[in-house]
Amino acid sequence: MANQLRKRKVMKYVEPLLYLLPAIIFFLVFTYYPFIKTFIGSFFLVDSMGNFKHFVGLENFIRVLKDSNFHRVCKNTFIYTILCAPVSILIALILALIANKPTRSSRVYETMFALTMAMSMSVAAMIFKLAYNPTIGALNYILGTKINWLNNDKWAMIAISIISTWMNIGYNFLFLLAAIRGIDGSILESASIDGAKIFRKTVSIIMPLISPTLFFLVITSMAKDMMMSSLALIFTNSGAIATTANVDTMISYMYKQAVNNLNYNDGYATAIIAFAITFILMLISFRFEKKGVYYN
Amino acid sequence: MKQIQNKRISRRTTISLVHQTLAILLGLVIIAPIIYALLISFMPANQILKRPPTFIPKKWILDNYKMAITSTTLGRFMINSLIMALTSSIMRVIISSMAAYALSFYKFKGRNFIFMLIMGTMMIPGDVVLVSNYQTVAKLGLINTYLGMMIIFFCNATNIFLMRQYFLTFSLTLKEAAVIDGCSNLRFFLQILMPLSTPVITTVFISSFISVWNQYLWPMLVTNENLMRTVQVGVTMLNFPDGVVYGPVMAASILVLLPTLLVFIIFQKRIVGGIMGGSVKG
Amino acid sequence: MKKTLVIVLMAMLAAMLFAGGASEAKPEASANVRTVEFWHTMSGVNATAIEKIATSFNETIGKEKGIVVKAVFQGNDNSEKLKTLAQANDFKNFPDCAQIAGAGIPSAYTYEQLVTVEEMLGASNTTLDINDIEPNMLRSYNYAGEQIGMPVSCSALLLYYNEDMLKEAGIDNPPSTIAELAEDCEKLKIVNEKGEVERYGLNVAIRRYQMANYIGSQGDYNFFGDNEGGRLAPMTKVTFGEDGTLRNFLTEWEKVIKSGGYKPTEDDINEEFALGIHAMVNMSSARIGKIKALVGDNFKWNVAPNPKVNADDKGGVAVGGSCVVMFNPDKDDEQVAATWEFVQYMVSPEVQFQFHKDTGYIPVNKKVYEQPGIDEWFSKNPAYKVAVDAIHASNPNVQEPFDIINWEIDSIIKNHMVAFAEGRETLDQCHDGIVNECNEKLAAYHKANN
Repeated sequence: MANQLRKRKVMKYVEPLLYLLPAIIFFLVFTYYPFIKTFIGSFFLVDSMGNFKHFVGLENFIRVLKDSNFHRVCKNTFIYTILCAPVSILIALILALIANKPTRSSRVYETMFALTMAMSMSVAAMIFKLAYNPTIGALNYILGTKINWLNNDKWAMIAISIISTWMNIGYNFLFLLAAIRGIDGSILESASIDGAKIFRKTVSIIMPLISPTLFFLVITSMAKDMMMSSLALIFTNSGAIATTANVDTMISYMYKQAVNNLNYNDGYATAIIAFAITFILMLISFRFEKKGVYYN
Repeated sequence: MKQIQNKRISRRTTISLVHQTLAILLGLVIIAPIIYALLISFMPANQILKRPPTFIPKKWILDNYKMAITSTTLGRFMINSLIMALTSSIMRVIISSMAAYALSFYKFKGRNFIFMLIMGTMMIPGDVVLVSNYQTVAKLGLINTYLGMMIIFFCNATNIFLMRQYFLTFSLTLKEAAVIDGCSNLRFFLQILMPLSTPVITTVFISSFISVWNQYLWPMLVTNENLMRTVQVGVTMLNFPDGVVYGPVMAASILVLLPTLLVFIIFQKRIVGGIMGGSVKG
Repeated sequence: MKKTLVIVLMAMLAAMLFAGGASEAKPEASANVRTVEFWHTMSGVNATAIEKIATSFNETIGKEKGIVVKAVFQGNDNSEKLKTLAQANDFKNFPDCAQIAGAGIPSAYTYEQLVTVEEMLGASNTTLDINDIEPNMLRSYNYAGEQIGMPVSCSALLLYYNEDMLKEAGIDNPPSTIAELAEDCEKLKIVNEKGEVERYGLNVAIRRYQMANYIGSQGDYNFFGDNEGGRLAPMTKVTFGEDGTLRNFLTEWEKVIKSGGYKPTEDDINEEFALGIHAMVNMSSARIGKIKALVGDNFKWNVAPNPKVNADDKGGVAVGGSCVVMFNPDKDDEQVAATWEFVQYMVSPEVQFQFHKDTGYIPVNKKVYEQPGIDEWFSKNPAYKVAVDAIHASNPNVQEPFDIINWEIDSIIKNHMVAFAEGRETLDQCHDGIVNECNEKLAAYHKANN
């Protein structure tokens, strides 16, 4: 009897771990093991073949933190994150509100709203590169502007952000639409009877109800945006953006240092700093989850 | 009385029609870049270079598509990408639903720690671990194999997080009730929870499919054969080294978009029907 | 409606899969056939051209000697991929030969699996006379006195100009020095009443590649950094600061900037030149074919040798492009001999002539100029002749540097040159910025690798 009880107790502890096991194994092998190696490496002098030579303490970090290039890429990353995540979620929210009520043709426009999710980075970059061209591109023509989108100090980062904002609309839209549709109809109905205005209805009734989805989207977009590298790499390596300092992000900078320049010293340290910054942001967000997110 | 009702109905239909038209117009604005690419893909080369730019092809030609298909083996690349995306997505659904189940239906010591550990991976960029993962995969002897191309995509924190959010909306009493009825934990997971979760499973599946389909760097790194290439590499193969030839590249982009488009149209009802982020009651 | 859409999309997909599946020809595998794996970096029409070489080899010499070359596209940077493999100690997945750019030579040199061209020259199946290969192209891939790679695709930096526009502006000959270039820029620019430039005299972003040319061409020849720009031993610092050549160049280039008709960033340079937005552009000869296709019959254009920094410079241009390096991953000498067979085939006169016609790369084999049809070809394509002559008139010591951290150097130069052109940096700031940052980065590299 006692034995069985103990067995049950052990099972109670072991069982959830069994379900977690595959995930944990994959994360340990393909994420944490290399990451810890990077972490340790950031305290060493590392040669171009990736061999650790000797311990240098915080030297790599101090050099990177003092480097004006690094300040610049930090600033870029923040600008990018601040521009992309909220704008994309806001647009998606508006679209989701519009598409909320099923109609005869809702299938058509829902698909259109969601379609950007299917785009790949390389394809989107190609399309926008043409659209951004100051003379033969569509954008200046349609807007009646004469902006050199990719090679103007002010516009380059905005141009990059527009691409990624656009690409994320579809994903965010799907989630928000589902969340809004999931709201119990009677709650909205009663709000309408109260004569609540659309805007107030949105803010005071819908927002709290979809807060778990919003939280999910904010968290994942933030992490994704802080870690963005692909667009910056595609545009700077192809030479489409001449002033790399305008658009390099923390991770594209890290990638260039480590992979292109074989400078693992700056590369590893940058990676760890980027991780630390994002981690702190995440911790703050999860603090917020307890206050602002309502699970039923 | 009846007239008034008719009037009201017709007014409603008018509003609905206006609403639908506006929504479709807005939709066209959203997908404008894709339409732009589509139009360019049918344009003769000299028209792409018109200043000011034109949008409707003067002559609709298929040359760009012919070049995109014949100068690379895009068909074979599609099969590779399909295998990779399908398998990875299925693996992701299995692994993340299991993990999310443990994280949302069990209370155990260290649960938050493990959850943070998983969420932490979202902050570790793939670029950082690239070289090291190559070493691991090479040691496992997986270079030039499908498994090697997709193994690092089998597990994803966003998916686990999403599933957890979904599972959290079921109350714990659901499970307790089931267990009292003599249902084992595993049976509850497989026979009650999973069927109730088809919407979130579909979502995880679709988003995984698309993200794996769009991978570029890794599949190229671990394969050394033309026959193992994926479509995203195929698109870059069309690039001229000294500047883009827009016509064929746009054609290839459109072709590469087709499968994801298909998945979208087929599964759309299900995805939109219920990602149900976290606001639905179980 | 939805069903039809799905069916249509399915049908298109199926058609494509079929088209793709059918055109994939597998090399026949038989017991006495050796497969040589060749990694290339070419895409677009160039890929077709290089794969054609492999196919024709397989059908002729390959068939005779039982060798099948498998050409594989590996993205546009083989050096990077080889580096990843080497770091993982994964030499068994190394190819038999790979196409790499000059900048990759120093790292390739460190792989013990490397088989240099020098070693192969004495091999029993050597039919190639190394003296037939252009000396400046050989030197491009020569390190510490040893021939590492075999040049295959070479190009030269040229000045492309719109003949019609120059004539209209009263310019008879294209500029031969930067000072003349600046004058012509001023004449060629068109500014509207709002003060916006509608037509530029010149478009080019000065990057490492252009800089190597402008630095190297000064005097008889000039080196980019110490140890002959890294060709004798690893380059530890740049020397263009201390020898004054960078200042020379910047002083001259400032005239171009001040002309008001210079655009320092590149958007779609080929297309914009073809549209008549720029009267002149400064880029590689590898783009002649592209420009030809884009411009068509819209206007007359031509190319001229790269402008000199000082009127009495004699250096000429640096060779751009790529070479093939060989490896012996399996310690199998017969395999290496088979690979060598293919490498020699690639640089043979007939193949190089065809490759030149297909891609516009400058032939690496001098015997190409004895090929039948060569005169006719050049009279029809005079632009290529200019490129060939530019290479022939250049000193072999004018080269892109083996600077190891080429990406970093590239971005330093690019950033400062744009800032200089846009007036955000003075000449001195630009000069010191480039020199100091290059040296700091080189020092950091050597600190970690000594």
